[in-house]
Amino acid sequence: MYEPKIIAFLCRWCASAAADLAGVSRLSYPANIIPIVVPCSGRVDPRAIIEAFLNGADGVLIGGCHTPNDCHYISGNFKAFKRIHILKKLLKQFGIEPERIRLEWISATEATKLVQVTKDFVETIRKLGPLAR
Amino acid sequence: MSSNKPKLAIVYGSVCGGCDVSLVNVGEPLADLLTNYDVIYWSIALDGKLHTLEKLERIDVAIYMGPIRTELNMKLAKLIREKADLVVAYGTCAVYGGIPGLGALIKPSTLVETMKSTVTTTPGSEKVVKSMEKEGLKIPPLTNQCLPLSVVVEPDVLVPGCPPAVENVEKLIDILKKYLRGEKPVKGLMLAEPRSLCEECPRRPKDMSKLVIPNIYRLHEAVPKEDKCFLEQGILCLGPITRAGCGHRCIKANMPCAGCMGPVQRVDDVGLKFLSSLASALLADKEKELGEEGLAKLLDKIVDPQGLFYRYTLPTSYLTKLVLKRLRK
Repeated sequence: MYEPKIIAFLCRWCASAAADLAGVSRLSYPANIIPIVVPCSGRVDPRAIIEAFLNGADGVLIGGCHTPNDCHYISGNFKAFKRIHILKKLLKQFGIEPERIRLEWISATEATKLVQVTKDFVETIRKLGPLAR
Repeated sequence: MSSNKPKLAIVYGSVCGGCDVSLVNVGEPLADLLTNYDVIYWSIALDGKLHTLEKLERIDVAIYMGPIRTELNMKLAKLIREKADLVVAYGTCAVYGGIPGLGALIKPSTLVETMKSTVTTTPGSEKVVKSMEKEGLKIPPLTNQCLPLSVVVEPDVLVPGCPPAVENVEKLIDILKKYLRGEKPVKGLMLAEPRSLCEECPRRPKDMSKLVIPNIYRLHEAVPKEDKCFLEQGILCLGPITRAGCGHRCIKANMPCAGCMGPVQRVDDVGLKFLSSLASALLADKEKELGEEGLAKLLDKIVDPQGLFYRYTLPTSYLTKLVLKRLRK
């Protein structure tokens, strides 16, 4: 069976803390996710996302703090939102499914949301199939 | 005709002709140069044929204009790299792909079909092509991809610009004069500034770090003021990530930069970098007020991000590499 590879850029303050919490709470989520901890979701360069795709990822998940007021750096999550919004449009023009990128706000306490989002996302990518087909 | 002068060939890719005009536009310095070189191939000025190039064992300098779009372009590009000591990629098309590069993601068969079926084609041109074929003349087929010269072979000097600015062409002529004395430039010399256009822009705001893009307007929706930064007026200008050295011709004519000089040093993908900087500066003061929905509504005013961000550099984009990798599998 086809197993998608997914890179997850998780912000240090919220989403990755949620992943830690999921770990200590013994919640299980698919092993297709390869988490990379970044200082802020606003720090994720579109180039890094494309680089992930070029190196074999089938989907990219970006996890940040809730808008409008949770971001540790005040407005990093809005920067991430704007970047991903335009990038999705750009990908569509190039003929790549924009669903391969997903931006989610996950706070440090929402371990169950993280688990749900990863399960959902893996299913979406599984349906879309590998990127280079 | 044989002489001991060094040999110069000016070779065409799928060129529009603007590069030639810009080369001739420098005037006297060019005339000086041409007395010192023996021009052996230049389609616009001489009756040079491909076999004259093939017969020669060595060419000293070859200037290539336009992207590689047909099999003939490809043949010429490889031929000049094999025979010429100094290869010059002249114009944005030869360096980054340029306007013809926008067809990089479209199948060659689709391109030909569109060309034949739309009103821009002269009626009866098919007949002309057929009568040519009877006489043994063939139109070279399109290559699978549209590539700039700099991707296929390694040029020694690169002159970006659509067309290259007079100052840069003069620099190139100086280099060619020095070459007569045996001085060869460093490999991969780029005849443009390494920094961005904003750094020397006459409209540069006092504090670039506090720049906020208040809205997004397309060119027909706003009348740009003559002395204010385009981005501060909500008109998207590619100045922040584009090389300086063009003499900001467009800015002087009250038009935003379209990015023909290519990316600044150490940036290799114009679109992704511009997207990143755009997202940082756009409505930076009203993010919380507008919320995600309000921002999304404004961002949707960018109608054609691909055409805006990659107008001159599509074939060198990482996204194109990704898509072509996918198509080839």
